[in-house]
Amino acid sequence: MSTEAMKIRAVPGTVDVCLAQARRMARAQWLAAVAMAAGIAIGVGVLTWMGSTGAWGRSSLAQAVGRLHGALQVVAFLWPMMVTWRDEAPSRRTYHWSQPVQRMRHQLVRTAVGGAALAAALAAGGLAGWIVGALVQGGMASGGGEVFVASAGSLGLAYLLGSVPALLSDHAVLWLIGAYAASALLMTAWPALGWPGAHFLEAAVTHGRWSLGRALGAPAILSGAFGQGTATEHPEPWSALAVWLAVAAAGVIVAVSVRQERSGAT
Amino acid sequence: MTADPSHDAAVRSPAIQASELCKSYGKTPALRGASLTVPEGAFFLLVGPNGAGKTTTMRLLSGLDRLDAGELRVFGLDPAAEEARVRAQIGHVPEDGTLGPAPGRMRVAWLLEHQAAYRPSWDRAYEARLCRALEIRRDRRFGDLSKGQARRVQLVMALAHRPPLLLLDEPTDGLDPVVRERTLALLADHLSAMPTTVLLSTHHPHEAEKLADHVGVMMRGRVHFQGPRSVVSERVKRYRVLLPESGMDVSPPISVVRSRRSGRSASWVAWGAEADNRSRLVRAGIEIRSVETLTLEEATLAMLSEEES
Repeated sequence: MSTEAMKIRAVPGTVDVCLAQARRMARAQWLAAVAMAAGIAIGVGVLTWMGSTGAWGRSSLAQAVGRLHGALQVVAFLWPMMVTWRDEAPSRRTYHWSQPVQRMRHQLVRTAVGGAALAAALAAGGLAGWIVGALVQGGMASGGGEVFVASAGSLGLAYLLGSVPALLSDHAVLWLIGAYAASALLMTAWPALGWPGAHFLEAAVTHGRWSLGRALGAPAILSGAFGQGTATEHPEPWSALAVWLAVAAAGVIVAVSVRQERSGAT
Repeated sequence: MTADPSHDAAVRSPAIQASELCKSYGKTPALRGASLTVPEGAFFLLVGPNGAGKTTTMRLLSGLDRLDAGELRVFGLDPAAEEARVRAQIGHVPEDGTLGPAPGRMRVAWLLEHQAAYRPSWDRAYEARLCRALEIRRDRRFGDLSKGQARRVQLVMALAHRPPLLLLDEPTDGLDPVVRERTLALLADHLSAMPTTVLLSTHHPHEAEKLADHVGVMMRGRVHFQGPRSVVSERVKRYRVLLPESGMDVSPPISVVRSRRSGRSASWVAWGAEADNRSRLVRAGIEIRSVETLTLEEATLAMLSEEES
């Protein structure tokens, strides 16, 4: 029996891996994705309908997206756990890792495919909401292109930030809640205790030109959903968005490069 | 202990070459300098008690875990540096739970289709044949399968792309006797049709009686013996003897690993060349009634007993 007889097998190409992941996600998680897209559609529809009733004046889709942004962000934060890595927390990810693909690359592909699925769900939900809004209002107000770009950027940021604990921990939701609670506590306690540097902390997290809050709230700021005060203080959220997208992408790279092994294998 | 490779009629290039492998999980050492050579085309039976390091060895081979120290090559490839290429050569039936469960919501048909997408050499017709033979229902969700059913699916996943190397970690664990027989027959058919190197870990060596041509014994993170099965057959034998009347409490003059006595009659499983052992027994005044070749299970048990002692 020679080496020639035992032909070395080829590895799959990147396109094959992406398609396999997309098919897998579409088949296994379609229900969760459809439910979330439906939620987005209903939300956008309701908000535009409220606009048509005069509650906020005539609504554009951009305004509806801006007002719904908080809810959309929750969806984007949870998407990595609820869709991308559902049923495959790190302790159950050996099946994924056992495929003939370099492990880091494979995790990045899955994360990217999950992001694409989120984008598709948002687009579908937005389109459905726009149709509903157009029907109830007799036509949607135009404009707001930059709101959609900011929305895509900040939801992408939320998805990447949510991906980091999903890549690293079996308890990603707890980590997210914990991080939120810890930062809220810190933001309250730090200034209250009169510790030095409180304004730097606020500048980095909430109010500053480069702050995370500004990056995550970009579409709401641009659509005026936060009120004009915040919008005029720092008129553009783009620099914060760019910085935090880079930080989150770096976080994902670090998370996929952490090699987790099954403890106690003998 | 490593057998002289010249005993192997056809000396072959190694499919697996591992030297001085060390691996710890936290503070728990799993491998402490294990060395293993599996010739290409060999059916290598790896035996050892729980915790010996067999599963860790297989996980290192498939690039799932990283070595702490040592050197490892699979078909000349380094699993740490070329994990994707190495895994493409491997069909792995893992110890229960280590490679799964696969996503529980996936139906068996999707799971197999997903596997096929990653394996350019996947043989659909062969997959269908294996599923029929193992009575696998493709419409079931993987999470709903019993342990034995999941094992069968894993076996199809390992075989259907006809890999050059099979890593089988307790592959018949959880199977009922009928399916176990069928599985072993399928494996034999597979090997007769396709040149494959097999590394099999099992607590039931008799299952590999007809297939194994190499044997390795692992204990406490090291490989204590490895070599062709013919060497095992030559070196470990059962000696049925009659002890002299005057020396009922005589200690065996040969390297006995298992002993049973009934009056003057004794049955000793012992290491060493038969001719040498015979002459030692005769010199000690012990009458040899018969010398028997052991089954694979008896031989591996004997080797394990010796290492434990």
